[in-house]
Amino acid sequence: MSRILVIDDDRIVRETLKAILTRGRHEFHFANDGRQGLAAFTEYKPDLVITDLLMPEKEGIETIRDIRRLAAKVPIIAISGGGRVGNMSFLQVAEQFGANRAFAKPFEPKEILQAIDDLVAKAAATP
Amino acid sequence: MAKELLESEERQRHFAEATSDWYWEMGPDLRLTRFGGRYRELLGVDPAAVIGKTREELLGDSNPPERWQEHLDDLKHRRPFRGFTYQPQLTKGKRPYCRLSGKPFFAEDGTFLGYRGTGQEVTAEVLAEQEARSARRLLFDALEQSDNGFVLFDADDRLMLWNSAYARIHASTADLITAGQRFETLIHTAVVRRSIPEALGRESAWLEERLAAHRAARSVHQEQASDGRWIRIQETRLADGGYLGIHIDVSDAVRREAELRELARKDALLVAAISTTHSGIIITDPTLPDNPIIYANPGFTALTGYSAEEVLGRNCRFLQGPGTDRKDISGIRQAVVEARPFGASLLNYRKDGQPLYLDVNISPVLDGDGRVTHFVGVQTDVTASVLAKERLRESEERLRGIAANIPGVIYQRVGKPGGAFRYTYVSDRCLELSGYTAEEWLAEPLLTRNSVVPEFRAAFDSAKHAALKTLEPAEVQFQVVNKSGARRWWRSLFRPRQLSNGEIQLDGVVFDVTESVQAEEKLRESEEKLRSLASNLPGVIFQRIIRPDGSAYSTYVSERCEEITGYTATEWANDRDIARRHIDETHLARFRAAMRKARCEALPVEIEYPCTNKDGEKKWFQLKIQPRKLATGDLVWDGVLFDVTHQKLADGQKAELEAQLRQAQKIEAIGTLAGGIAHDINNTLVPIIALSRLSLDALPEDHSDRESLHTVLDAAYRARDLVAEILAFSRKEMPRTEPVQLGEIVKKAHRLLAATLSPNVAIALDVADEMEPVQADGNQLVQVIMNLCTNAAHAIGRKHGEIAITVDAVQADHVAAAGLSGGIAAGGFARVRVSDNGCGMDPRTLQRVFEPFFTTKGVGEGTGLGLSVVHGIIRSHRGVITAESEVGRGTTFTILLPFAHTADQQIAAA
Ligand SMILES: Cc1cc2nc3c(=O)[nH]c(=O)nc-3n(C[C@H](O)[C@H](O)[C@H](O)COP(=O)(O)O)c2cc1C
Repeated sequence: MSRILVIDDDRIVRETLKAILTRGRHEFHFANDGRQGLAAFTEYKPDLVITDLLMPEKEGIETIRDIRRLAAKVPIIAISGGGRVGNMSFLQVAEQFGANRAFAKPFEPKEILQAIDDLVAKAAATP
Repeated sequence: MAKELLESEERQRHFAEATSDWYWEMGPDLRLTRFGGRYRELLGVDPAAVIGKTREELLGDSNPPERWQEHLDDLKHRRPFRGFTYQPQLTKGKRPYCRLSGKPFFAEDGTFLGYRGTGQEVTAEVLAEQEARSARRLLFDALEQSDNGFVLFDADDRLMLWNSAYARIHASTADLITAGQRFETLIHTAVVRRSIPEALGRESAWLEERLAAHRAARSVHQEQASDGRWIRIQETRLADGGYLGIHIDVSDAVRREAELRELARKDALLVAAISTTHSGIIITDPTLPDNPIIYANPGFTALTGYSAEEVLGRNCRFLQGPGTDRKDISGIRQAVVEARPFGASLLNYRKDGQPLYLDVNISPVLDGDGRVTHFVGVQTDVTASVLAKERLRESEERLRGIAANIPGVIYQRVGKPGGAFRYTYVSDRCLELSGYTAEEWLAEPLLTRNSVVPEFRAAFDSAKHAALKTLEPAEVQFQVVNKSGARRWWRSLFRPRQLSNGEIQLDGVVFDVTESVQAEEKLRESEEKLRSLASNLPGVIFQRIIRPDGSAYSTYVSERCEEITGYTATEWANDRDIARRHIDETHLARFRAAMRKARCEALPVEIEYPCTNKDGEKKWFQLKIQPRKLATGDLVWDGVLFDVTHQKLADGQKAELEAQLRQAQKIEAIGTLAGGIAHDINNTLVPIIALSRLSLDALPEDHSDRESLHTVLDAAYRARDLVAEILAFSRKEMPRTEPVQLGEIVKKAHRLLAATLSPNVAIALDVADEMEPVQADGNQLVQVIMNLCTNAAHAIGRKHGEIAITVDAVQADHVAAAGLSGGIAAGGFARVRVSDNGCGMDPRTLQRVFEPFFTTKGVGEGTGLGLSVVHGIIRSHRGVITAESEVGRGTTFTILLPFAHTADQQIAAA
């Protein structure tokens, strides 16, 4: 069981992740945008963060960068509904900025849960 | 008898004693046996002391052996002798001379009994004789020493005595100078041998005179020898009737005398010269204070304007003035002090103040002891020549100035026709022209000819030779290699002039005409270029002049005229009816209106009109005229006529291309829209897929809702794929590109397709070798090819069919490329064609084939995004994709992709 912070502006995505995380027996906390997400991160101290990339207020990539400044090792999973920056997709960019994994929306519950388990275990293993 | 004999002996002895000093006798052994007479008295020797001695014993060392050898011989042969003189070895101190005569005497039976003879004491006589001999020798030696000739003739006029100087002086008759030679023979032979110049022509008279002089008691006369020497002959009659002649060589004296005479003559001349010469001559006396003038000749007065009286007693410096160079003056002062000659050119002033340029030469006059007694100064007026020189210098200066400012080299050469010509003048500019200095030109007459580039030498020489023959001015242009090795064009103009010495002078000037030759060449080239341009231009270029009076003529009609209009250039230019002849009647009025505008208002016109050319072909011509007014009032039309028939026909196609362009823009707009909504759709799909999955996981295997949930998932997946395609399409960014070989791309796509396509569809590949790479995202292109092939396979359906893929390189037509891709440059393109022989499309379908969501496939067969995505990818590669299709025959998609280097140019241009 891990503590997961989910940042996404789309309610239906949040709801869906709630269902998935519950199924995975994880604890979770939600934020609606990057700014809230960052505040929640310091307070809630999650084991892993799942963040959308296209959000109002604060973009996901920015959020990833800020979180990385606070905590270098907390795993981050980026999710995105599309779009590209330059030659790269958002997802590639997110990985460049510090996301450990990136998934295109729509995603499969299984791949999310599997990624959480893998990343948290790996983070715990590294000192 | 004995008494008689005795008496006779006695008598004999007496005689002997009377005629000699003593007598003597010698026995048969030649020893003295007896002396008689005054022997003892005269010689102071006791005869007893010498009795019994032989002659040898009595002969002393002082007697020359040959003398007594002869005597001893006489004795030995018992010969009588007489006058044998010798110095007997008697007592010391006294050395008398004795002269003996003797006779052998024999017994009756002939037995030799000895000698009997007499002796005489002849000491005084011998000594006197010796003295006389040595006196004669002395005299003779003395005469020999003399350079004067001495000669003695006896009373019979025969040569007796002469010295060698005499023989030398009379060398011409030296062979006859022998003792006893007659005087007359000598002078006669001299005359005959023509060695007496005076006698020539008057031989007998001269001989007579000469003999008369000789016979006179005393005579002196001069005679010239054949070698030109003068000989003074002094003859004196001697007491004995002979003649003494003294012959003196007086050539030097004669010459000196002549010189003296000459000197005297000259002195008179000198005086005359000094008083008549135009040079000023002054004499100063340095022994007086300030070295004053003591003599001035009339020339001085003439030169300076000062009379002799005015200047006597004054120093010459009054002639000097403000312009006089002090350096020269101090030179004179120095020379005066050192008493040596000096010369200088001075500026002096006449009495009237006029400048006077003088060459002054002063020289000291010394007395026998080397003291300076006077100075002589000679003044030569060089004013005229100084002024002339000045003028010459000025004119040379002027010439040099002219030469320096003329853009060429002025020269003068002189030489004989057929010979080498030398430079007598070369202006300074030759350094600039040739790199050689004027001195080098002057020193090396062949320099210029050798500089001439060999292939021009013949022309260079023949121009010169022709000019020398005709003496006409000539010019020649040739190439040279100048000192720095550069090739230049020179043009030489020259005029030959016959000189009085037979030589010919060439006055000339050389210009460097390289620039103008090059300019001419350039002009010719550009004319050539223009002509070739005109003949290669797909149109007729012409120029027409319209005079103020309305008449007109063509100055130029380019070659293509006949090809385009069917009329020759001449026909076109001169036929006034040409317009009516070829322009369609319905457009004639419009055409004429345009021409009026160009003529009357001088406005540019551009008109297109349908017409019929000479061969009867229907054409569209485009005519453009640019009029311009000249200062003369003439109007010039620069015009061009194009055959635009093809363009007119292509206009229809152009409209089609424009429609395609609009279509492409529409597709892009749709793409942008799609990109915007894709994100939202994806978000929407998140719960649909995820929650359906979770629900499915939660439901038991046999639950009846499971199938529904699966259907929901299928739909969601299809929606997801659709969005993915829309996103791919909406990408505006440059794909990730690298140089790739299109052939390789096509082969890769082919491999992937081979596995998936149904066996009724065959794929034929035709890939050109060695193509340049294109700049592309390889994966995307593979996707494109696969997409096109999949579509083709669909079009073929279940029939047997073939997909042909060809890859080659083409030169894309500019207009076509521009029309299709909006700003794409013309250039090299890689072309991929994917053709099928499937069902084909009707034109309506074909027109919309690249629109998103447009599909002919049945529901469930495709999303309709396939070709719009392909279109997007090709566009993002700055490429072009077109489709041709015919229902029932098949479809061909053509993709043009710029080669990597073409693409670079496009980017640079953008
Ligand atoms: C024989 C003789 C002739 C001379 N003729 C001239 C003359 O024609 N013009 C001139 O300027 N000086 C002439 N001089 C030079 C002057 O007399 C004087 O020697 C010169 O000016 C230098 O001396 P200063 O420096 O005392 O003047 C002549 C001198 C001598 C001895």
